[in-house]
Amino acid sequence: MNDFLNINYSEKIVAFLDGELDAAERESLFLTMASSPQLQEEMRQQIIISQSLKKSLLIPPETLKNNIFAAIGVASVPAPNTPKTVYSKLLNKRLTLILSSLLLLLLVSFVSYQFFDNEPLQANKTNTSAPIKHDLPKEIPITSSFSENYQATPKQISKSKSSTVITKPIPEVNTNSSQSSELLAIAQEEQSPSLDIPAYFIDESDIFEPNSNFTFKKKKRFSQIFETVFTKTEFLDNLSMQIRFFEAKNFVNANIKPISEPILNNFGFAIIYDIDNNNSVAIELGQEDFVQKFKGNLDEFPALIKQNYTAFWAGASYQYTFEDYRSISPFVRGMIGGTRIGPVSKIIIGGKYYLTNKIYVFAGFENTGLFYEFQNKWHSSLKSGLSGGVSVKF
Amino acid sequence: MKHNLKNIKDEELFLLMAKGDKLSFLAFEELYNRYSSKIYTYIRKILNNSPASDDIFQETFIRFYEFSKKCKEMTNVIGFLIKTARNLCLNEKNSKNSSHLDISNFNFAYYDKSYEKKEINELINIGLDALPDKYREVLVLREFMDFSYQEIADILGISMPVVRIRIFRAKNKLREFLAPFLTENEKNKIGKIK
Repeated sequence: MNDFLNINYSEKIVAFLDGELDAAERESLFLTMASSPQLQEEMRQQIIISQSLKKSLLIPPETLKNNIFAAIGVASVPAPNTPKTVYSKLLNKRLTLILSSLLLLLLVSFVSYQFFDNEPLQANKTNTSAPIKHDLPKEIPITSSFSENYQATPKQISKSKSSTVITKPIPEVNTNSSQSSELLAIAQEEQSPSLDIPAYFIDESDIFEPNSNFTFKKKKRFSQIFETVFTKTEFLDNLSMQIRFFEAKNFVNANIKPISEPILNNFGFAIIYDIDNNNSVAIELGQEDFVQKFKGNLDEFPALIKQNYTAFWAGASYQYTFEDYRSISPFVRGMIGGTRIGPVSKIIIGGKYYLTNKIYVFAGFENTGLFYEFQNKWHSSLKSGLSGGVSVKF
Repeated sequence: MKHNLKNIKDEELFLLMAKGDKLSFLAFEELYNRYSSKIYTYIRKILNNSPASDDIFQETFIRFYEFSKKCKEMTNVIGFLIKTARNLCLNEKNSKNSSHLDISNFNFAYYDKSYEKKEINELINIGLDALPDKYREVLVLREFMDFSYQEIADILGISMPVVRIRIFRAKNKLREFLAPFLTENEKNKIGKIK
């Protein structure tokens, strides 16, 4: 009998919390509850359940809104609930355009340089300190862009890939040095690197051996388009392209999977410029998930909002590389950038290992923070984990 | 000119929508902002986070917009949205006889230890997802939509006492399900909730 009464009052507790109990029933409930610790406990537990349920309201992703508005024939206006900043607007339009253009330009230059421009003629290396004993040859093969003072002959040289040969001797150079004139010729050429330098031999017995810093280039018509953009190859020599992946865990666990899983999620791309052996700067972009959990008001109702936001980010970074330790070069890198909803920052501590002088792999520990504004309050979404990747020099 | 539609009633916004000019889009957007979270939550909860939820959510609002072109007056916008979403959810459920975990099968003694670390909110969501459909629906309508028992009865086409008993049973099942987590450890929190 007592159990039956309790069930009856349990139902009244639920109805009371839902505001569905009239005055008489309320009075009856409270009178009974006053002498029943069991009902009091039930009331306490039901309050917790009701409060927790109300906190679990979900927010639809922005993409769904865009789809709906597209379907009814109008471009979506950003919803008031969507966190938007001046920064994000800038990033959305101009910065994305600038970064895309820059990346495209670099990519095209890289491709042209790598596949159309660069054809080494001679790879012989000698000790730079050793004296060069060859006499200056009388006939010098050169690239077609050489000075108009020289006349080309159709004679082809066996070891040279150059297509033309000049017969006229190199002009006299005023000098007091007693060294052979070929060294002076080299010195002249080093002062004017924009001229792609000829080979200095006529036949196999008379091979000129350039020092290790010397690279011969052969020009083709295609590359001339880009010649005006990058006449100095040193700039490209200091550039590298990096592909990264991230495996990081968010500090909060909202137990929500992202709505979409783009193929390139948790991947990043960077163009790095090495200022010197220790310092480098980069522009980077990538995409990864951030779990957001914050309190706000929805429809004038306090709510705990949880979502898994897939953010595309872009930014600039600085990296300092320390001295090698057992073939590993430790480094620390900091990045500041932005997403559609607010700024993002990263700090990575790791090490890199050179596979060749142009390719290295790296791995490190990474901390990332996404900062966003919602209803005039700033929130953050933090995550940490591992990152790694490969870098290839241009 | 910037329009502030926040203080305009649903019925008036619907009238604006029916006009079909630029203001109608703004009116539609205002109604979307008002109810999208509730409708989205309803659909996700009813379909147990099925991938079809997103499509049904979009379809609900598209139908609502199209309906404004045919009907010039609407007195209960949220009611219409819920009914539309509900019908689409029922169709989806009928087309896929999806089975889900019944709350009566839950036994924490044998369940994943990681649940101990979860917050009570997350556990309640797990419990809610495991409730039988008829209980989960009334609870979602009551707790997320703030509908009264009478409004729920109208939407579902059942009597108010049935709604009352279903809500009671749903909450009671949740309470039993969460009993290990609502005892001593939670007592400190009650002060804050008060």
